[in-house]
Amino acid sequence: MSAPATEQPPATEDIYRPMLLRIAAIAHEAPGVRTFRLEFTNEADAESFSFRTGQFGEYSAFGAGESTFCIASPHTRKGYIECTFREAGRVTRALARHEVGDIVGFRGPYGNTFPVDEWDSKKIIFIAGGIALPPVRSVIWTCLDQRERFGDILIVYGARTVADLVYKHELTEWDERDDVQVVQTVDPGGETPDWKGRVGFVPTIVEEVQPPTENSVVVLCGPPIMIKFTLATLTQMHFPLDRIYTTLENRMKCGLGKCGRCNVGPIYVCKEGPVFTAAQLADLPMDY
Amino acid sequence: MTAPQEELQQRARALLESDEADVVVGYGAGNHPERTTPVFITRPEDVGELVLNPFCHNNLATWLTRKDLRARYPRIAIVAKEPDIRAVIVLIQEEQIRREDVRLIGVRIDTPGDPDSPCAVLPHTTLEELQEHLKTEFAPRDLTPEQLARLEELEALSPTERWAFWRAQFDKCIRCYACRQACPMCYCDQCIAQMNQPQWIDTSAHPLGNMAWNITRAFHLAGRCINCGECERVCPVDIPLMILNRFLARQVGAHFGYRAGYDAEDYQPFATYKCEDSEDFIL
Amino acid sequence: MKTLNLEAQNLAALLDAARQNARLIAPVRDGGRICFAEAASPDDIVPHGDYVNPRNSIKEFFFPRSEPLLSFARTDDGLQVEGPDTEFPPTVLFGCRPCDASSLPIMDALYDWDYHDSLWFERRAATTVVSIACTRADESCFCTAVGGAPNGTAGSDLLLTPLPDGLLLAEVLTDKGQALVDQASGLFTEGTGDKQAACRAALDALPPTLDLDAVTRWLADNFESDRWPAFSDKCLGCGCCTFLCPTCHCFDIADEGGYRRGQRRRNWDACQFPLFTLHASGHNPRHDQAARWRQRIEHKFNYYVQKFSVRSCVGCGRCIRHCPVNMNIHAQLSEIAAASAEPAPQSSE
Repeated sequence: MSAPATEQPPATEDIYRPMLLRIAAIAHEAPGVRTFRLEFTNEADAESFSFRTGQFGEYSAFGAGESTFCIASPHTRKGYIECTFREAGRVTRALARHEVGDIVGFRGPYGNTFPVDEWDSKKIIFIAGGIALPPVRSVIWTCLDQRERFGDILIVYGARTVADLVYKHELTEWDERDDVQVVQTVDPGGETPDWKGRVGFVPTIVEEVQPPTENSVVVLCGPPIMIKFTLATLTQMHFPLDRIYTTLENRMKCGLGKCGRCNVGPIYVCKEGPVFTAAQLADLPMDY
Repeated sequence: MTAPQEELQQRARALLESDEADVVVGYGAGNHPERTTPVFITRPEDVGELVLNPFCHNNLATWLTRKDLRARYPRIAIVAKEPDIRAVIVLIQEEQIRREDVRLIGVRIDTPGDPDSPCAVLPHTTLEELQEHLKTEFAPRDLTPEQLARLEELEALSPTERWAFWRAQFDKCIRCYACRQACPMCYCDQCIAQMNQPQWIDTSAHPLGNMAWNITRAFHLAGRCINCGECERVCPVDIPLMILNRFLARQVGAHFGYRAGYDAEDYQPFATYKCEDSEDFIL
Repeated sequence: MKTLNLEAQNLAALLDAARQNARLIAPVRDGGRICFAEAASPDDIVPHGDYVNPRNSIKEFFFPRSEPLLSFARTDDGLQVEGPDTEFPPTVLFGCRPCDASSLPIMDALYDWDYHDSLWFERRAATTVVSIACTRADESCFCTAVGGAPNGTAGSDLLLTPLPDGLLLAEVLTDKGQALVDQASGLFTEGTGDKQAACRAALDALPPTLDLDAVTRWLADNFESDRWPAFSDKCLGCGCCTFLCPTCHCFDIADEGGYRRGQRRRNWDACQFPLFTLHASGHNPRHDQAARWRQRIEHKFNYYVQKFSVRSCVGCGRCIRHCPVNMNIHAQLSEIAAASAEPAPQSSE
């Protein structure tokens, strides 16, 4: 359905009013996982919109509700944003029924950012698992779009099975570059006969790879159990906790610090997060 | 301290000293002479906190299905007023508790809320004896004349008038779910009001959502409500929920000859089918 | 700030004047309750001596229990989205107590934090708050424990204190208060009165101030404490306290309707509900009532303080008075303040 979207111009300061974006492309990444490329329907929005990598938005399926996803495309690309999501509940299932040309809503960008500008000349180590690659992907492309600023780049990415790997084409593209090292892995039992990557849980692979600890930062995202064991591995290797960056995925609603749902101790994940260093996380109560 | 209150404390002490219970859940003093509050007594020396008076309102059977509590206290004793004993019987029928883990200190409060009401500890200690007490001593006074009068007052109205009455009442609802949380028969891990695939009941506190919520809850209680009245007492906007619940209980009694919570061996009308069930109201 | 006198018998005339160009919200009777609602006439208003505090707080007149954020329709012309109506009628909110009034600046801080919530602030701008100081308190009131007072001025545009001789002391606190007085200036005379003496009975009945800094310190250090299950075992996990509380502001955003047409609404929500923090994965960081009750206390007396330098509690006592199980937040805070003073190491799980 490619019918145009029309809207009453929002009242000044209507902070709950989404922008309307058209689905320009849909990529099927993995079972139940899609990427939407979204373009602004409103010229003024397209002109004025900007964000920094790490930020997220509230995406609307009108009639079903809003859901929180990071902006999975880098801020270095203009004219569109991308999000990647897995069908998990009411809103994501409604989004999964949308087609190219359909309109979704977007409120954002919200949250803090990865401080990429502080990483000049550092080695960047990306470690991600499963559906947690999208927030990391934004940072990866931001770095690759300015490749000369940074030292060695290493990407360690794993999923349960080969089918569950997201951004398969981009992983290949990154692998084929000679200024990026990519290590892919699947959980034991998740490999296919022609799988050429490694087999093993991400924390185990990280230990095998032995990423450099000097002058480097780690961007780490994944399910809680993966984070826990990978952090343990990195700590054993003497990675300082304030150079390991992660995103906290907490239940959110408004995304802008009012509804109270996402707070972890004194911080609101939607305002002071979702990007935190492992050192900051260690200071937070176990409320996430 | 009254003699019944002292007797209650002795019974609680005995349960803890004999290690029959990990906790005795009873009533303690509230912040006002006419309020009480649930207390969780784990040590015999603390039984002095327990009170027995006409303001012991909470239905303590509600705590029997609290998983977080039961994980810490597998064997639990509760002070149970007569309607609360009925609730325990329904929980046993519905296989939500194991009767061997539960001990009851049965009490009788003649007129809840009346400062001069006599209160007594029931002499019976087994569920069978308490059940027999309910059938013979309690059943005749379960529905009070005032409660019956209120029911008949509403029944005398026309359907249009009744709809207007309930519309006005449910408009007040703020969807705090105190009624559900205070009810021993509402123990679902995920209530129908919390489901969004599909969204059976709008969560908004508007007339449509409120009607759907309150009527659905009444239906889910039909044949199960044991007339403790807690839902109505705790409602912060004073909706007379018990009129609806008592009305449905009367219907169930009339059509199936069944009253909830009097016999742990009995089959529940909406969980079973019997060939002799009346079908007049369908056909 | 000006002080005037108003004869108590002229209160009705003041409200009549107010009603000429504003709707009047005041305590009225609804069955056995006294609650804030639109008053058709000053005769419907319950005399202030007849109540300690109405059942509901004034929150719902600034942050309704359910309101539309937008509506949408899918037609042949495509998707149309419309925002909510932000024209709010001029309102005089009368008969409010100083505790409720003081909740308004507390909430302003959150509603203006980086993102300005017009729905809240437009209603605030349209409303004149006329509070009446308390000459008595009941066993659940504890405004003084949290730094408030039965004759406090925070959040009010006009504060009336009943004086012994049929007079009210009128403190004109803001331009809006002045505008209301100007509408009926003939009713007011120059005058003063002893606020403290007038509220003596209330002050005597109210509890002493707690060492709130000690409470905040204890909360910061005792996220893991076996006091939390002890405090919360009897908590039913309903939303009574949250929804009656003047300073609780958590909300849900929900779409209703269907594919073709619908609304997105903002509804009151409560951290006491089990599903409040449930993740799509099934993980729930606050999976028992102890964790949820802890959140309530920590948020009001620790986290909100860290963010906005003020406690998110005014001591109105509704959460104690109307709690189905008589949870007593004041008693718990007193216990925490005492524990904070103990030199012995804190117990932990």
